[in-house]
Amino acid sequence: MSVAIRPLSLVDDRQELLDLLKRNLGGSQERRWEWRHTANPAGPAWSWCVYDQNTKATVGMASLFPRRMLLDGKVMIGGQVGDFVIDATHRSLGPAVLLQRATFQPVDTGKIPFCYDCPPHDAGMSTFLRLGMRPNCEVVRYALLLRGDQFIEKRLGKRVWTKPAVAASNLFLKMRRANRPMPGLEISTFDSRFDDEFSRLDESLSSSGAIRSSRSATVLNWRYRDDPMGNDALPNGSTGRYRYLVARRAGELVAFVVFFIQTDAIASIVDLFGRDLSDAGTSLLEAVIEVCRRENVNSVHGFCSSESELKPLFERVGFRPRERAVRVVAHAKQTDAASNLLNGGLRWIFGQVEILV
Amino acid sequence: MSQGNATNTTIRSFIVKKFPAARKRAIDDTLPLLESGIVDSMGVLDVVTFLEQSFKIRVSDDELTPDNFANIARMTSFVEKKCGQSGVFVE
Repeated sequence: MSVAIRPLSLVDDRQELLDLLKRNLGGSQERRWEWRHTANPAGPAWSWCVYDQNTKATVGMASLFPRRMLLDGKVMIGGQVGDFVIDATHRSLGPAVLLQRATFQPVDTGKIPFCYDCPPHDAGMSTFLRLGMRPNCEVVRYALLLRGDQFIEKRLGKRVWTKPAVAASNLFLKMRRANRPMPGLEISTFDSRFDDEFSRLDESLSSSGAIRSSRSATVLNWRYRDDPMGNDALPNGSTGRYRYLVARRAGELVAFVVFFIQTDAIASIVDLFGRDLSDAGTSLLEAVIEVCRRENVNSVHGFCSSESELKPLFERVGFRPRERAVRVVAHAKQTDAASNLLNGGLRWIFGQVEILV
Repeated sequence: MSQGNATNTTIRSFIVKKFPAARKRAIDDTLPLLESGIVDSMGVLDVVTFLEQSFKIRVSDDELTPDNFANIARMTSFVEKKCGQSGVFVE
C-alpha cells in the first residue's frame, strides 16, 4: 500500500469529496456543502485527498476552512482544519500525517498567516506529535444537570422504584438558586438577522493579548442564520435548532448568547460574547437555563478553554467541568508575526464556536 | 545470530517491554499489533521513534502504514530493507 496526496477541486472533485464524507461521517453532507465550502465569507475552503497509488482510489481527505480571527486585537484570516476522514481500510498514521502536512500548505505558501486543528482524541493528536507539535490550549466541556431522568435511568434502569428517585432528584435540582438579573439589564430573545450593532460590539472588544474568532454580523449570519442545517441539526448529527438571547443596557447591545437545544433534551452553549460578561454573561446564562427548564432539557453543556472568561461564568451558575473536549494545535510560519503571536503567550479564549467547523 | 534474527529480537523485546498488553499474551511475529489493541496510535509513535534511534534509520510519513508496522514480522522486514538501503548495520 503506497499513498500520496493531491489537492482537490471543490467543483471538479465535488462528488468524490461528498462520497468520502458520507462513507466516513454518514448523514446528508450535500445540504451543508456549498454553505461550508464555497459560501464562507472568509473565503472558499482548500481540500486535499490521499489516494492509493496502486489503485488510484481516494481513501481520505482533509479541508482547511478560512476563518476570520482576532489575534492580539488584529483581524486576520486564519484556517481551521475539518473534513478530516480516512477510510477504515487505510486508517493509519502515515496517511493522516500526509494529510495533516497538506493542511499547512496555505500557511507555508503565505496565503494565510496561521491555521489550527482541534483533535478530540489521542489518535488525532498522534499526527501532531509525529510532526513535533504540541497543543496550544485545551477546551473542556462543562455540564449543568437540570433533570435527573436520563442520568438516573441510565444508571439504575427503568424500574418502578426509579420513579421516586427521579422525582426527588428533579425537585432537588429545581431548588438551585438563580443569580439575580443585574439592574438595568434587559434580556430578550433575538430572532432577526445579525446587523451592525453586533459588528460594533465585536470591534469594541479588541481582545488585546488574546486569540478568538470574529463575531461580525457577516460572520454570525453565515454561521447561524444561513447554515442550511442550523434549524434542524448540528455537524455532530444531533437534531435541534439554534436559539438566541441578547442583553441590552439602555437599549444598547452589551452581550449575546447562542445556544442549541437538541431534540434529545440536551442543550449546548455555542457562543456567549460581549462586554461586562461577569454581569451580562451571568444573566444570559441564567436566562438560557430558564428556557431549558421550560423545555424539559435534561442538561446544558458549555465549552471553554482555561483562559476563557466563560470559565468563571460557567462555574458561577453551577456548571461543573467534565472531560477535555479537544486540544487545539496551531501552525504558523516560523518567520511570521503570527508565529510570534501564537508562541508568545497569547491567551486562547476559545469556546464551542471556535472549535465548530 | 543472523542480522534478521537480531532485528526481530530487538523489536520484540521493545514491544514486550513497552506495552503491558504484550506481556499478558503470547505474541507471535504475525499477530496484528494495532488491531489486537496491543499498540495504539500513540504507541505507534513510540515504536517509530525506537526503530529510528535503534537502527539509525529515517522513517518517512508515507512509510507509516500497516504494510510496515502491522506486526513484528513486517517491522523486521521494513527495518532490514531500510538498513540495506542505507548500508547501516546494527549489532
